Amino acid sequence: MQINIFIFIFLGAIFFLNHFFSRNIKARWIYLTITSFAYFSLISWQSCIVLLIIGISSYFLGIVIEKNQKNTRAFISFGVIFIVAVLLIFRYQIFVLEIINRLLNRNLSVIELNYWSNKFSVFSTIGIGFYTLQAIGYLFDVYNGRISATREFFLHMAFLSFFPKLLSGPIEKNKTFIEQLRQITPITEDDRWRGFKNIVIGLILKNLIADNLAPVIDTAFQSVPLSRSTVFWWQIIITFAVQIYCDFNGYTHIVIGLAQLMGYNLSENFKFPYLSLSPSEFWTRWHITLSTWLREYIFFPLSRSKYLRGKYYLNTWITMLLSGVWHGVGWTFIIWGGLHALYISIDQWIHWSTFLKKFTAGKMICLVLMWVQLDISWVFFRASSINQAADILKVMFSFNNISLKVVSVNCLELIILALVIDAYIYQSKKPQMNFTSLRLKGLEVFVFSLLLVVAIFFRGVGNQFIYFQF
Amino acid sequence: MRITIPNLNNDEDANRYWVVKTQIQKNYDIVLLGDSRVYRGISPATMVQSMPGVRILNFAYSSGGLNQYMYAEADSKLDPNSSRKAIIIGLSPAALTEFSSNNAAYMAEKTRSIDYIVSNYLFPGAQDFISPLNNKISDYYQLTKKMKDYYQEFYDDGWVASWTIPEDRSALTSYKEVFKTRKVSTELVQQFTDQTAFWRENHITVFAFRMPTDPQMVILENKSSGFDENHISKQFEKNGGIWLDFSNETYHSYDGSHLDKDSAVKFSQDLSAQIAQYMNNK
Repeated sequence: MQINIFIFIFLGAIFFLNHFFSRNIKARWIYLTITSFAYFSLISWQSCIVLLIIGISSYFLGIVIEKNQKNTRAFISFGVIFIVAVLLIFRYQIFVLEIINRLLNRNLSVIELNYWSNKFSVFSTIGIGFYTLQAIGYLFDVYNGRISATREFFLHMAFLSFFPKLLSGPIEKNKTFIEQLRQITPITEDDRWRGFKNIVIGLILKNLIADNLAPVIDTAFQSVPLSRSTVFWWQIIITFAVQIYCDFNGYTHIVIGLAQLMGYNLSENFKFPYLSLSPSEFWTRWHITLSTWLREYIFFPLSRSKYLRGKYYLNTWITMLLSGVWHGVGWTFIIWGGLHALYISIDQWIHWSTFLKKFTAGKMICLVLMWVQLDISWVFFRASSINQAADILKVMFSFNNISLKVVSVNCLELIILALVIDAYIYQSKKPQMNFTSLRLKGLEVFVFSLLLVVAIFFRGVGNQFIYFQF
Repeated sequence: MRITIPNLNNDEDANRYWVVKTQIQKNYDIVLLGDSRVYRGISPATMVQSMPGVRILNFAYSSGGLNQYMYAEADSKLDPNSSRKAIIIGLSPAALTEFSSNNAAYMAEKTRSIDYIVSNYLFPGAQDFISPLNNKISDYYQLTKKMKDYYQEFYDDGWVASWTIPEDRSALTSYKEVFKTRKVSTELVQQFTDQTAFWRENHITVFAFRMPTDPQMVILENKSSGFDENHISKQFEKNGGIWLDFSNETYHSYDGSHLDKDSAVKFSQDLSAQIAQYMNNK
């Protein structure tokens, strides 16, 4: 999260005014919608237009799908195609242009493609990946009868645009979040305290750890030429794995905390993913709401469909490749998704993790194998091109220069801090961590206040949140 | 104009500088274009001493590319009612490569969020107060070993006065690698000359020159980058542009690529002397 004066003022105003909209539910929806659009317009007023289009279209389509018994399939198809088309136009336009360029032999040069990319950049579409998925999921839920279409326009807009989760998720289950919005739950002191703690933990993970790791990673990937040291690149990729986890998990904690301060509970998105012992388990712990969405709206429907029923591996590949496409505009992201599909497929085929998990030592081997697989996939996620990724992987597996020199002691300290924070998060879920003693509570308040100051004044260079581009 | 006392770690000054340069809309008579050699190497305030009353903006960016997009952006900075509109382009081979044509640094600044812009423009003092301390503490107690100290002064007219202690020639090594894969694009050279003709048709005077740099860098670029100064200058003049020549020996670079502060001031004086001649004769 950008630490700047304006955001402090803006958020302060939102929380102050929130109090005045805690009696009338309809006024609250209007207030939430206005504040969300105001927040979004700070980042990109052009993107507000895109959000409005998605909001209005999904609202009316939901009602039409519910009312119309005869042509529901046509309407849901239209709705999904329309929203996906908006996503393609505003997010993948250059990628689509490149593909069309090749297919039709138009010979647009890199320079021309860059020109159009620059022109479109002003329609910055931060967050579009998240709210379009939310809208598509909503239409499917209405179509399948899981929820009723919202008849109240501002409830629908508040649900779609709720500002804490607008830019980065979590992608909430439609039913549970709409139900929360339909009620005004009094905000307790406990909610406020938990919200504050989540925000502080998030700022430590994102601003202190991830943003201070970022320059080391950026320098490594931008160096010309790239380092030829095996140990160097393994350290960099492991550091990147920590960076992206802290970045995204940190942002999620901030989002959850902000929502708690407004009286709403959002879903967890991470459950210690780097402790996963199998590729499938990883996707139950990493970006949980996205993998849940993919499972419910892509994998299960494919598995139940007439032509793909029972084709587990094919459906897995389709789902993971779509996940790769969703994550980024470029072939490296598609390869990243493909690698995860490969890992899952191999594990399902030979059951290596199931076999190894029977033994204690085997669990350690699973952990190491998972880390190797994840690190290979992270190379593609971070690299600027397939060539760069291939170059780095070649170095990683060529065993050049295997002296155990630490790339950066600072990075090591930050990684250790990340482990400590994760350990705290794990412990904090236990009942005995809800301190009742005044002394311990006072100590907790002091520690978290200190951590807040540390997160602000020792933050990194202020890199934008990595998942903003989605 | 906000002048910064040399400070080793002045991220907030840098943030404000880029916001003012990119986001704050003003009208200018003359706009300078190019890459980091231009924004570090030319001081509009110094130029104005030879051309009193002329409003000049240094509109160059890091790894700045010279292409149609940036030409249009520079155009938008000119005062349409000015009688002495001019575009000054400091050419460097890197600015005419495909890689630079994405203008990543400029786009990053152009797409800043409003909260970022407002905070850094309207509340610079408050932003300074909450600016990170880690680098400042690290520098003060010399906790990290640095190869060199990098000094920068940020000016609202778009100049960044720069120097390092000690100096080195590190840019030569990195550019040697860069030009192994990145070459001057003929398409961009064509765009440059076509744009010159377009500007001339619209009564905008266009000046260009090869931005002075370290003589060793010139040798490297002539050998490896595909930059044909002779051909480009001839095509440029054919399309109505005014080509200026400067000697690289007269100026000093602190890293093998960029001019140091004193040389930037000297070059700005030399540049403005030549331009003033043309503008006064107009």
